[in-house]
Amino acid sequence: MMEVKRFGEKSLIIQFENIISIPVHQQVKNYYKYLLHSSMKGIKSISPAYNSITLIYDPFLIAFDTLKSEIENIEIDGDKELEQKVIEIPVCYATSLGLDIEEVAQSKNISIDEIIHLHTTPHYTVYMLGFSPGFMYLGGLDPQLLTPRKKTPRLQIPAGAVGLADQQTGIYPSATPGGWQIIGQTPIPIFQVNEKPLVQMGDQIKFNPIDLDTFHQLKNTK
Amino acid sequence: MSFEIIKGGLMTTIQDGGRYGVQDQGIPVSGFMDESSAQIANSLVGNSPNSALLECCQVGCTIKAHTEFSVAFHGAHMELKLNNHLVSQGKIITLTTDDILSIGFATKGMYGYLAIAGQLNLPKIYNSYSTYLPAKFGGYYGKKLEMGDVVHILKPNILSNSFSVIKPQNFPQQIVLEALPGPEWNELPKESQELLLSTTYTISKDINRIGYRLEGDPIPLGNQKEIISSGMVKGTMQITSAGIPIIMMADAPTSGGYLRVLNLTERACDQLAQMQVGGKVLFKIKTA
Repeated sequence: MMEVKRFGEKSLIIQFENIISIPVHQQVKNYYKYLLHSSMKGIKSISPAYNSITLIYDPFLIAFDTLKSEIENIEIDGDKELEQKVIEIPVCYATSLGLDIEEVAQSKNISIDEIIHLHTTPHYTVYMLGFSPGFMYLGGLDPQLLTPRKKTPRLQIPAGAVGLADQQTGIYPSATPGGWQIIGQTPIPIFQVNEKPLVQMGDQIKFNPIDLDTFHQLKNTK
Repeated sequence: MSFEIIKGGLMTTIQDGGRYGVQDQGIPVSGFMDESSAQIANSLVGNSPNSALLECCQVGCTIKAHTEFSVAFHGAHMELKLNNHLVSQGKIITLTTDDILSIGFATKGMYGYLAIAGQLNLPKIYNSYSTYLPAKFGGYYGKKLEMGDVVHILKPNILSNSFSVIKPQNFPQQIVLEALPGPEWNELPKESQELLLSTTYTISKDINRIGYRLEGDPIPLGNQKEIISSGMVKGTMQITSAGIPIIMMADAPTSGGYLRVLNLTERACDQLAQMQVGGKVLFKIKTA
């Protein structure tokens, strides 16, 4: 199921079924990969999401109706796997960095060790990158870790902070204000300008727990 | 071959036609807030329309020439003075070494564009010169221009004054903005659609290169209040779960989670960029 809709005067959106699921995301991947390698003219930008792809095109090179029918006529030949990597990201969960981890543990009546265990066990799927440069939308959080956002957002969260918000977990690529519950921090840079991106949509993320000494060592070697 | 910033103004940044092809990494497009004014400024000095130039916001900058080159300014009404003598926008101005060009505060509009004949000598980041301040990259080392900054010009051009003169635009502060229905337009109840298209909104204080928040009667949402995070582009109007319309602009995040009910036309984006706090806007669906 797929629908191509106008999205302003020089963008369109390819809308898939309105749910978050691995099969729907597989369809997004299939079209994303096809479009990345296609020779369709006039495409300036392709942004895949959970269940949609936003295209920015040059209306002077291609008309909406033409592009829409070209997209509708795409035949996907089997599931296209993106080069799927498992990326291990070290995270220090010490309370000096995981500013809210004690509070989260108390609210759930479980130990900090249990939170670390639950958070580092899954392989998370990177559904998309968006919102800000290098920000990953991850799927696969253990339901026991569902945590509401903070009532009052912090004015400054350090780059690399690892947080929980509702059904999501993620990493702040750069220092920003934010309302996530912070449970740890990674010493490795998540987004670096003009460098090959660390993560692509479709990759898997695994968090590895490290202690404070290792955190500082890794931080200083970057 | 360069010029120096004597006064930075409120927020003077280098911008060009935008940064495309990296939105799948979450990197915004950025670029000119008012494309048509910027493109006219570039065209006046013989640059290609999407070349990098100086975008002044509300209070312009003052520059001192360290070589001879021509410039043109277009967009918001900002008083231009060359060595303390008034000069007009929309035409070629040629500076020689030690000349000082000052750009004042905007009496009409918000964004003014100073195009420099020739090419600015700055590093391209992801194939664009546009400054993206939130992540501190692009343009002049990822920052706004400030006193003492020196911008080099790769091929400064000196133009004769015989080129055309463009009259300044008027920038009325009560306007109708044309828009196309957005992806979730039909998720709005009929009465809310009508309310949105009949309400005169006021431009709030929360306006910047990322987006414009509007003040007016909140729009009641239907059953669907949020969406699964999906793409946003310049001109997308989101309605927050509190019913407040926000229009995304040049530095818009690549994705968002609120209903996307309208998408302004390119022309309407340019018009909105030039609205000041307190300005009034009414939305109208563009029919083909």
